[in-house]
Amino acid sequence: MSSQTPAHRRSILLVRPSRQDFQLVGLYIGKVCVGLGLLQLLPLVIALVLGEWNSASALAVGAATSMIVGLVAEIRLHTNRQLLWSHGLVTVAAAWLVGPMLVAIPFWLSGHWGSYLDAFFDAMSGLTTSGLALVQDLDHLPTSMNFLRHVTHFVGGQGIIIVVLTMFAATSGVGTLYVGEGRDDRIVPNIIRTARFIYLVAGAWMVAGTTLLWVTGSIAGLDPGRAFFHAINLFMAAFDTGGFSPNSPSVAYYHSAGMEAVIVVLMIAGTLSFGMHYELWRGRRRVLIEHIETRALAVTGLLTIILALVGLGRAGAMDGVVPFLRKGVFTVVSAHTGTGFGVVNANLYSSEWGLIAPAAVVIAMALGGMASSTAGGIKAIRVGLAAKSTLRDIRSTLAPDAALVVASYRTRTRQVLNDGDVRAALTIIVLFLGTYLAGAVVGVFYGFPFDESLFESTSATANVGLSTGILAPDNPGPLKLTYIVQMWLGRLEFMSAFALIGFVIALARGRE
Amino acid sequence: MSARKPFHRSTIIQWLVAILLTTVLVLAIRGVRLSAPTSDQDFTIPEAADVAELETTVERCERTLPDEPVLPDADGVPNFGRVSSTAVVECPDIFDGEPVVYVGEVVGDILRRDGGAWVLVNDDGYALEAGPAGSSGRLLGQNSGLSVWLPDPMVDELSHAGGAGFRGDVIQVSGTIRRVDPADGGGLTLRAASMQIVAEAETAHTPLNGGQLVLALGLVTIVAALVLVERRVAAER
Repeated sequence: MSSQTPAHRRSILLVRPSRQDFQLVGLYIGKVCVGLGLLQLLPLVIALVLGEWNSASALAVGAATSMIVGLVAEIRLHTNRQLLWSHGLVTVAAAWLVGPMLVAIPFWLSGHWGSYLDAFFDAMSGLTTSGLALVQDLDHLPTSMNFLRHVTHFVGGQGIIIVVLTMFAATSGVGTLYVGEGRDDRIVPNIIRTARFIYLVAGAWMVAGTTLLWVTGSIAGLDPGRAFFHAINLFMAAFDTGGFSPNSPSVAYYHSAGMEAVIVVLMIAGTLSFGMHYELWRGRRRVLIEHIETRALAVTGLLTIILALVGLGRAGAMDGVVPFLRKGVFTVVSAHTGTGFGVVNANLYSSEWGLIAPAAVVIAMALGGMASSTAGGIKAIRVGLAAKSTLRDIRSTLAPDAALVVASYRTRTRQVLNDGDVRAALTIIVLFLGTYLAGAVVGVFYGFPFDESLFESTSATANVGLSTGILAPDNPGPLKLTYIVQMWLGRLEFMSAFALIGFVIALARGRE
Repeated sequence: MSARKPFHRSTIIQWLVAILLTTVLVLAIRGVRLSAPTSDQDFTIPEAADVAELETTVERCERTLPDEPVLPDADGVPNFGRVSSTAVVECPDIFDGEPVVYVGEVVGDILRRDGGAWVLVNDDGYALEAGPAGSSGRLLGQNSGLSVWLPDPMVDELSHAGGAGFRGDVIQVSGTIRRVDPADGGGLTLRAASMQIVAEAETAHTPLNGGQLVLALGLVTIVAALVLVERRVAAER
């Protein structure tokens, strides 16, 4: 209406969330809390078996706090109302903030994190499968607490919402939660069965991957018990493209080409979408070759590997083929899949690797893996769509005026490229690039060189975990917070986060 | 018409109770964290703990192209004496192929194979000064160390590697730095020529955190009570 003020017009589309909206969102966040509480029982059992009493009580406090929050929500907020689209997005974004807050409790109580913020940082890093770490004296960390770090990768990689769907077989409308968590590839029509298939795939890979790492670890010189501990932890960090490792030198700790080869396979398996795993499960290997994401991933992977090897050669950082493969190729695969395992000390990227090789690693991190996988970053589908669209536009320019140029691409079925898909892809690409840059500017503000800040910022946003050594427990709080927000945004691929921000704004300025 | 809620069940009171209980829980968790008992066990190795002074001898390498010298004024010094891991990692080029002395704690696993073993040897504050963080309660930053290759006779002298609740053997190694070690697929390593034990491995006593245990038991009891309430409420629905 003409009598409305500008402020009034701006708020006209915002509807203030009702008590029922809070009830619904709170109820589902509560379910996530119960799930995370149960998750902490696993390392708690290990602590009790190994006699790590302080870790056991820390894990009991963490698990009990999570379950109290969840149970109170279940008792006080129970409702049979159906989740709407907006509820799903807000729930997911909030759950990905509350979850790390709860998992941070046992971390902080263990005495290996300098502050609650540091513990929250590592919990967010673990659940978002980033792998950046602020833990101190990792090499003396109790076994149970080390195990919890890696379990966060496994749960976060599959999706904490997926955990809830699998465990509690939730009610209708939960598809919005699934999509809100950054997944758009419903593998089978039923969402609960999709969630269970994801855990079936992860379970099958766990058996195979852990066994292979156990064998190669034993050959590398680990005693059988320790080899199993390292194998299960490394599996969770590799397949879920996380990047935490049981000891401070990451994968370089093992000095084993066999383990590195198994880890490369697991990282690549982790970066494939669960839809792709489904097709392979059903024996449709052609999809792997024809899928736009596989092709985009192969092209960008090859280009970044070549660029890194050229850079390493130019900087004189490596001698011989084996070091190029075991250090150069491994690092690029680790970056491109969003894993973040290191085979060289973080400081060597700046002191030894020259300029070109780290740039290749940054590009690989920024691009990321497949959509609906455990990897982060821009994702191969968006890179593929942007490339297809560019080629289509070039062909349109060269074609006669009357010609209609149509481009198509193949996912699990053949699809015609439409402008809506391209626009959506480009929007997310721009948001990712902007976030990479913004984080780098914050790093520069705190006195770090731009190139190293960009490396760190990209690593956080793309949920990778490689570091040039900037990240340290003595970093200023705002810089740590920046990386936390970046990990959160990157995991949710922005849209759920925007929905939560919109929810908060509507709370303040919306209309009844 | 709906009946008016009693005062103690009004929304404001319920919110206030929730905030109060959350605050109590947060303060309790913070309290047990800050009051965690620590061990006064002394892990200091006086003759080896002054690592910080060693670092002043090395400047950080800048990124260079092959044509440019890494450190023009290095003068090809043949023997650096005792070095720290941070100095070696900051500028591996000037140590490459040079004999050095290195002191640190063996941590993690002893990866025994091929006539020797790979060990991780840390020379950080936990190794040479404070002992494991979980025991001393002192946080001195992240771990720092070098990968060391020990031939078999030296490996036999090791008794225990450091880990949770253990400070491992502290060793002094004389050997050669390899910037790109072909035996490790191009890794940065120290190949030992001789080794001596500076301090035997020992258990790091970690006092039981009684306050944390009591809090844990209290919270578990509340969870058990809430599970019963939730079941009863669910049955009534």
